[in-house]
Amino acid sequence: MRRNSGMAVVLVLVFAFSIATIFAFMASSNTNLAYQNKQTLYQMQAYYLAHSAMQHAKLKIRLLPKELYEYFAAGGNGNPLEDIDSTDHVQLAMGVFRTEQEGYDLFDPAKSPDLSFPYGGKYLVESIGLTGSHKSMKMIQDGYRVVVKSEVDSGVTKQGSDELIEEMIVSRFTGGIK
Amino acid sequence: MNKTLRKTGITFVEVCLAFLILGLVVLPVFQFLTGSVKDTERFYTETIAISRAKFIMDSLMFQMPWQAIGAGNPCTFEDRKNVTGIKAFIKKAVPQMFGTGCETPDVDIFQGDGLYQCRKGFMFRARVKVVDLDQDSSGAPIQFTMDLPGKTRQYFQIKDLVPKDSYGKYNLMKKIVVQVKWSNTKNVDPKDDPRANSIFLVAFKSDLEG
Repeated sequence: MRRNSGMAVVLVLVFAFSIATIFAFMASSNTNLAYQNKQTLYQMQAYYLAHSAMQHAKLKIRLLPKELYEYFAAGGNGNPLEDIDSTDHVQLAMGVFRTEQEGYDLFDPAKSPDLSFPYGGKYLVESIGLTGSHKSMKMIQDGYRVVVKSEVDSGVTKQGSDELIEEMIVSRFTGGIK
Repeated sequence: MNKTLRKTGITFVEVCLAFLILGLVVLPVFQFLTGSVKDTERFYTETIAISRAKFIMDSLMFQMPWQAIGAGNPCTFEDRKNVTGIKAFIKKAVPQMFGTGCETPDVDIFQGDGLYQCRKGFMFRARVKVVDLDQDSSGAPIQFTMDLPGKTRQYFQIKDLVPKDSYGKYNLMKKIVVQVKWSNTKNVDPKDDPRANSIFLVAFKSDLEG
């Protein structure tokens, strides 16, 4: 009979332990959600930088289609779009993340000067290749395959990166892109 | 028999001890629940802010015509070529992007700044800053280079490649910064909340239309 004494305490301890386990799990789940929200944002930022790179590359391709073709026709096998690199241009250079960037605020013009950014980061064209050239048509068209990369740096564990690959056809005389 | 039954029951001390332990456990649980509700609302507002920033940046990068985006903080939206379709697009799209407050005295011009209130009552302020990265905007403006094998490097400046745009600038790229600011207190304008949160998106839009 003495063995039953103290059962209430044991039951409550088991119950309390169960509740504590459930809530510990819920707490970790909430922490994960906060982390995922932040990661989504940095990944999204990397995505827009990659699209910025692709638009920048398309801009050069449509402005200089003849020069670009001549580069490949002359046996060039490097990257004629290596100047599409945000770190090479003062106005595009986001640089590495600095603590003062945490105070960036568009609602206070003093905290958002033209050359500053809320993030660190960069983009570049990793490679471009001539995939074909249609000379027999009235309008000469060249096919290109472009690979761009982007990186975002907003401090430790706040980073993201992205890569975009696009194939396009460019009219050599007009620079029209399909 | 009566003596045996008394021994198998729960004593008053055990019940008190059990309640004490239960109380010790339940108190932080209730605190956790209260905090959890606040956290859920915080994540909810952050998710709304992220999706709004994405909506605005997608519209600006992939839908809004290049010539319709004017530089400034906040930027402006105006069809400078008088195309009926673009005017209609701006009138419909910009209020959807920014909410109330993006209108200007001119019915055809909108600004990249507005206030949006979600169904739960939280308020979000979105603002867009656009900087023209034109030929005269910097001592070292953007330029293009080409290295033809066996030849010297060629340099192409923006002014050598395109005529002036409708703003009178040699311009091929714009820097776009989107900020969404929000308060975690319902019905409070984030600009009046010193503890308001913000998220940002940055992109560079190139002129692929001209």
